[in-house]
Amino acid sequence: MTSNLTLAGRTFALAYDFNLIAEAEEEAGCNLLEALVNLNDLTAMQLRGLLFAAIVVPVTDPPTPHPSILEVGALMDVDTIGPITKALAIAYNLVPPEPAAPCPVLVPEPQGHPSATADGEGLVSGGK
Amino acid sequence: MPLAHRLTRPIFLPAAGRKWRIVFTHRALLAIEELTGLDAMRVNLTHLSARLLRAVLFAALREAGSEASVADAGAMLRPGAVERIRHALIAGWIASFPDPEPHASSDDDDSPPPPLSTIDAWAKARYDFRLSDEEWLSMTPRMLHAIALRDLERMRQSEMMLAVLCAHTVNSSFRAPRTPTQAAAYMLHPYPVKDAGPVFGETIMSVFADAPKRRTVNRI
Repeated sequence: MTSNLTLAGRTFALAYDFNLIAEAEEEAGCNLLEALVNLNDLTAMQLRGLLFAAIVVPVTDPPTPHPSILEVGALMDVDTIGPITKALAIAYNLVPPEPAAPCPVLVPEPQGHPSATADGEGLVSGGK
Repeated sequence: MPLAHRLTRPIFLPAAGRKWRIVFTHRALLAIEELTGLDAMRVNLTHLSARLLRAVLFAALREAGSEASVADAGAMLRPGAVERIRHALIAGWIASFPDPEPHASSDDDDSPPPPLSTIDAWAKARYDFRLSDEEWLSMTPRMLHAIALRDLERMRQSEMMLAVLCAHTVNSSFRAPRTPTQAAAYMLHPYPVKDAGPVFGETIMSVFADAPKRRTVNRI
């Protein structure tokens, strides 16, 4: 599931992939997680990094090379910041939610044994 | 269930249809170091990067018994789940690490020492506490800290016995100091001085309550 973004006459498909975001941090040279949790307050480096990580290259023959981070930066200007941010937000919203998972259970520390909980849950392994 | 799980405040992370118990042992910390190159004992989880978050999640899941790969851990970090997972990991991290030391008093210029690096923690466990590698790997930093506190108490008791003897010798010697020396002055690891706290009327009354009462004599 991708959203489309047209920059400088070229159309790019954007998608959310946390693994690519994590890998892109080194090339982007900034913290992309901070950018991810707040798309409204991005630095130029963060926006470039998120766009770089979001671009999906179609499988073709011969293979299409993924644009470098500098090439991605060259595609951006003041007028395209808004559309890029919007396209990223759309791409992130296209990710299907995780199958029904309850909120994290943060069990308060009991008075007695640290692993004992009111419902005895702390005595059950969380492993497989 | 491993001992580290029994001795750590239970924090659960629901992911991939299961609830995983989040405990960071030294084994998990070494996995984080291997993936990120950072000293896991000194990372600041309040400023997580995407790469570090993925590594921390992978190590936590692996410690909980999951066989998920790093890429699987990254795939779990969906837009709607990142904050939830991050909070659970931070809660598990706090539960696995010792509580922060109270700050030194204002007249004491010493800043609190930096947290142990992983290699220092290993050396301490091996040399000071004679733990095996496997014992150390399966412990959380909080457990190691508890042993360190117990060891400190043992040292203080030994030092106190010698310090009392030392202070008594000095105070009863020729040219003894006018103000008797205290045993704590001869200890390498003195007991922390307790804060006197505020003085209320009840405090003063309780002090004078033990004083002998003087009878008033009518002199006629």
